[in-house]
Amino acid sequence: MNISCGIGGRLVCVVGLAATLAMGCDDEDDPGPVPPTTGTAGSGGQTGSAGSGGSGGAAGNAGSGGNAGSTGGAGSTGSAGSSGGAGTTGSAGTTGGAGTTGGAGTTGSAGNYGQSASASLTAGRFAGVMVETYSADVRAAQIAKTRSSNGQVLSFADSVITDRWAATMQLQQLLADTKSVVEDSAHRQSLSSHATQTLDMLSAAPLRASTPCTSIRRSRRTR
Amino acid sequence: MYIDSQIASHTMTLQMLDRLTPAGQDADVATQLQMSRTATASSLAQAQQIRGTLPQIDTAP
Repeated sequence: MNISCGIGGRLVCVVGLAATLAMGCDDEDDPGPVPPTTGTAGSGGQTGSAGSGGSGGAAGNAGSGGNAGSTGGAGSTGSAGSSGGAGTTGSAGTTGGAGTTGGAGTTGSAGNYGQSASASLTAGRFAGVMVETYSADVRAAQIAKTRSSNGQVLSFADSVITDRWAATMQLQQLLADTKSVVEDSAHRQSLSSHATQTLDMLSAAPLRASTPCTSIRRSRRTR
Repeated sequence: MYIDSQIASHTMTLQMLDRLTPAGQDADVATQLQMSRTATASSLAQAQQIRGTLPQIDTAP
């Protein structure tokens, strides 16, 4: 499905690209879920330290960092799979649980999944990720323009809209050059989820107040 | 609020692009990815600069 947009419909284009992504996802060889942040696994480790009383089960939470990594491994079944190390890190967390001090739980740096995911990056998948990003940026900027009265913020929002429009055109060119179509991916879905939360939050902000009448009256007096 | 959200989302995008960067096997994709990264980083810097001029609690959504 190629993407084509008229110049006049640039914002529609950005949103349209995102809508395109919502259809027909083929994730069979998806590189896997977005890698867990190292901080999350680390917190599991702290739970392990709480189990210093010998409750190895608590340190099992540290092992959950490993689970996150192994999930990435499952994703890599499609093409590349080198996230086994992450699972190993999770195992280390389990070992920590067995320890009486519980400090071992700090081995939470699990899930270095991004490397394995990158092996199967295609133009379509990359475009999917970036279109989602650009679409969210534009929508957020449009909301901000109706809610902020700060000149710098408004200027920034304008520049974001302009820049993302140009970038979207470059993506279109990339897709044309590589004869690719926009593809879905776990990365895109993660960004989409994050964007939805952000846009909901921004939308909940009050609309920009109109110019106070007192200001208008003062302005008239000075003429 | 808006600027804060943009700083967060741009940072997230940059991290994702950095993870994808080693995979730029196709020259076209690698070039585009690098361009996207540069643009995102520039936008992030701009947002951070604006954030520095705003009150601690961003009252300008």
